[in-house]
Amino acid sequence: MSILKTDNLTYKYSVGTPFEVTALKDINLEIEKGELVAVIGHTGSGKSTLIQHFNGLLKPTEGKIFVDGQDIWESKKTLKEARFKVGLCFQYPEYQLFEETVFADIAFGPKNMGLDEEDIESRVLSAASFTGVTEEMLEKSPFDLSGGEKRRVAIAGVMAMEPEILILDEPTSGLDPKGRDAILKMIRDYRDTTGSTVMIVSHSMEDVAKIATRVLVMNHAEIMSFDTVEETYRHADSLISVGLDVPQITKVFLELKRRGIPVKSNIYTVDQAVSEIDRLRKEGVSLC
Amino acid sequence: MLKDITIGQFFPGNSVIHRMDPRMKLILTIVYIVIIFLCKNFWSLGLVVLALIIVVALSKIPVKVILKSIKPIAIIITFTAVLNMFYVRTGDPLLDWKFIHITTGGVITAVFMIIRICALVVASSLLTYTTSPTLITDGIEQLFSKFKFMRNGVHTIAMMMTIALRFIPTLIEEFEKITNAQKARGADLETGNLVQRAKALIPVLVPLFITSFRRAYELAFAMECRCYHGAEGRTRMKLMKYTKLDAFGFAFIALATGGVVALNIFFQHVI
Amino acid sequence: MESILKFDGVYFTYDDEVDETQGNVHWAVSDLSFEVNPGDFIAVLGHNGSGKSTLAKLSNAILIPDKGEVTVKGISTKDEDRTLEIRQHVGMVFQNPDNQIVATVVEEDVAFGPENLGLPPEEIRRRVDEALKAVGMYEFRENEPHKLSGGQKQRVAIAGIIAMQPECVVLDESTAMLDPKGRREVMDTVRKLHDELGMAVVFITHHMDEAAFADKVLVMDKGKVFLTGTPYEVFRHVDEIRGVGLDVPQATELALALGLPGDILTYGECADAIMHSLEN
Repeated sequence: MSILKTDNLTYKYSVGTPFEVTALKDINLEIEKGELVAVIGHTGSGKSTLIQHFNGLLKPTEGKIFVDGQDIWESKKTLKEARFKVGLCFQYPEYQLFEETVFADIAFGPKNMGLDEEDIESRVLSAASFTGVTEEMLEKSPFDLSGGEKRRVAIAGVMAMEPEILILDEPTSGLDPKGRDAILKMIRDYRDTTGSTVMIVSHSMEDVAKIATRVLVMNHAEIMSFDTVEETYRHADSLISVGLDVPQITKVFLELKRRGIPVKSNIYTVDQAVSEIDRLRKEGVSLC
Repeated sequence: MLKDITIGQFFPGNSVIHRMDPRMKLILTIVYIVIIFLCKNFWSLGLVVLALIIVVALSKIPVKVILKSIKPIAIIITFTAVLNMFYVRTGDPLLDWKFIHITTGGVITAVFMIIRICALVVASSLLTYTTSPTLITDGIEQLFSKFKFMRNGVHTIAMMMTIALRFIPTLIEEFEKITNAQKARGADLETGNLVQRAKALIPVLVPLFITSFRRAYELAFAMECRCYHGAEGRTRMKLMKYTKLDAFGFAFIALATGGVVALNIFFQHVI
Repeated sequence: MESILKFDGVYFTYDDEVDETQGNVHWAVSDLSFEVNPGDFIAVLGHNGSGKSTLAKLSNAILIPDKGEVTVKGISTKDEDRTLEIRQHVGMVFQNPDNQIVATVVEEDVAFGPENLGLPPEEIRRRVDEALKAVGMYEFRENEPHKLSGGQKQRVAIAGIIAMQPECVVLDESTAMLDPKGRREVMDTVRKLHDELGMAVVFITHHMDEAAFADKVLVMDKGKVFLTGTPYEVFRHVDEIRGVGLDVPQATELALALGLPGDILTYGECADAIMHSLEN
């Protein structure tokens, strides 16, 4: 059974006013346990609205959401369960830190779940180790940390709730390449170790392609495609046409293809590119 | 969405009242409030009310909206009226029962009070209904900049108001975001008694304050980089200009003032 | 030709007391020297904490060097009486678009700088209109800033700077908080200012693709200039750039891996070179 499923999910803002906007239209999707799904789309494509439905922060105008087979809007109890089963980490999560110590901040979620001290402590420590938050940092005030460290503490705060599905909205935004790679590696390690389901929202195909198992592309409130990384790249030109970034290497090969060279278009790393060109050189190509 | 709310109670429009210079509107509102209190009998009070009705009609603000402005202070009005009725002992007695003594003087004072307060509230609401907060701020600044000794003080206050107005929507949006983030971590903001709820707000308010301080710090840098150095040597792109409309407005209120004084002299004072 | 902005052996620390004899001063930037001449487009690349934001703040007298000198059109930033003049010559755009817009109406915000300079109203009006047209935000002049997108807000912030008619604009990670569309809008605007108005630009970023447009790239690490040269001269050092936590354009990396000749930075150049090599 799928861990997350939506059934004709539709969401509209300002219903009944002249400003009514359909933010999500007939979304049907199913995600299996243990997947690492990337959700990409430009600003306003509906991707952020979509993920806020998964833990019940937004109520669908029409349609249903099932977490672990349970309709989350069935009762107050199921809704509360969904809050804890689906951990949502917003963009720039460092702006939600408030406690006196890093430890207390990471413990905020588990505390709200009503766990006992011992349980809370073990969860905080394990989340801290996933995110590379050191013991020394746990005693500090979160406001004395660097930007990148704050980000990791905030993510740890959601991980400590040990949700079955962890959703991160733009976890790498504003970070430099080194910080970005560290966060992405951390997310992959977390998923590999815990076997949880993870979703990452991003603008950039380049970032998520490195770690995702499937890519959900959102455009104008609808699902444009939901496929493997390889398959999604096969339609790289349509990704560009809806305002998404693709890796520069992909653009090189799209350009070659446009000029009539028989290359694969789902090339997105330098290594793939080198072997593809080597193949062409060996086989020889006829240029018209 | 929350961020689309209008700040204050500005009611956009293009009526003659909307188009008047905010400085003139400020001055005339103050003059009008003064003449409300100059009225000594129902004749002059009637004139003041009539003037207000004309202005409301010109502003094209729906009567419903105008009445809404009185609603929040209805209790205060009733309270003052009742107090006046019981404590003013002038004129002929109307009712004498146990400890309750009501006189004609008391009733007249009470009615007078109600009308005065309503007129005052409607007049000042009309200013905010027809003038955007930004224009009121600019109006205050440009009005007082004529006086050298007040210039710096007024400029500072006006600048603060402008920045506050600019950041209110940003902070509301921020508040929503942080609230959602903490809800996602299981924070319960909706249940419990008042104390519990207030406590539950800490995880939202602390980050909100910290972000606001950071914003203030960055904004100060940005303003310095744009050569901001207070009112000294500062000019404005949009200078307010008085037009014919303002002259009419001025004449209108001047006539009303004259009328009030005359009616006060001709007819007997009741208050 | 007189340089607009010149760093000459600049040292700066955020430490309160500087006692070099102890040898433990933590310099945010050290021994920094470079020049910006009229019409230059200089990209400053560096990871977070490499000293690039300090560099920005030193360039218009928000920070004053502890050692060495920063001069703007020959005026030292240490000359406190001429700070306003310096800030008029070197305008600055910051990272967070929200935290640099002061007014509740777009055009009034753009007017803020010229108003502070004490210009006559007609002149301010003219400059505001010109600036808004230059960044393509003229039709939004009466909008409320909070209803604009990130890229649009940042363009308004840029208009606010160019309305002061500076010779040089410093953009301190002005694209870091934007989505790809917003980044493209800002990049296009900045290139237009440089190409059409001849404005000198110092573009601070950690996105290597944005540095590819520059005439000259400074790569910073630990407060020092680590590498400098044309974009290709810099990006050719793939391992060194990676070593300081930055990326290189994939096109350059591929070209080097395939042994293609030429200074390759963009996908178009790379495709050309591959075509050429296949033909032979």
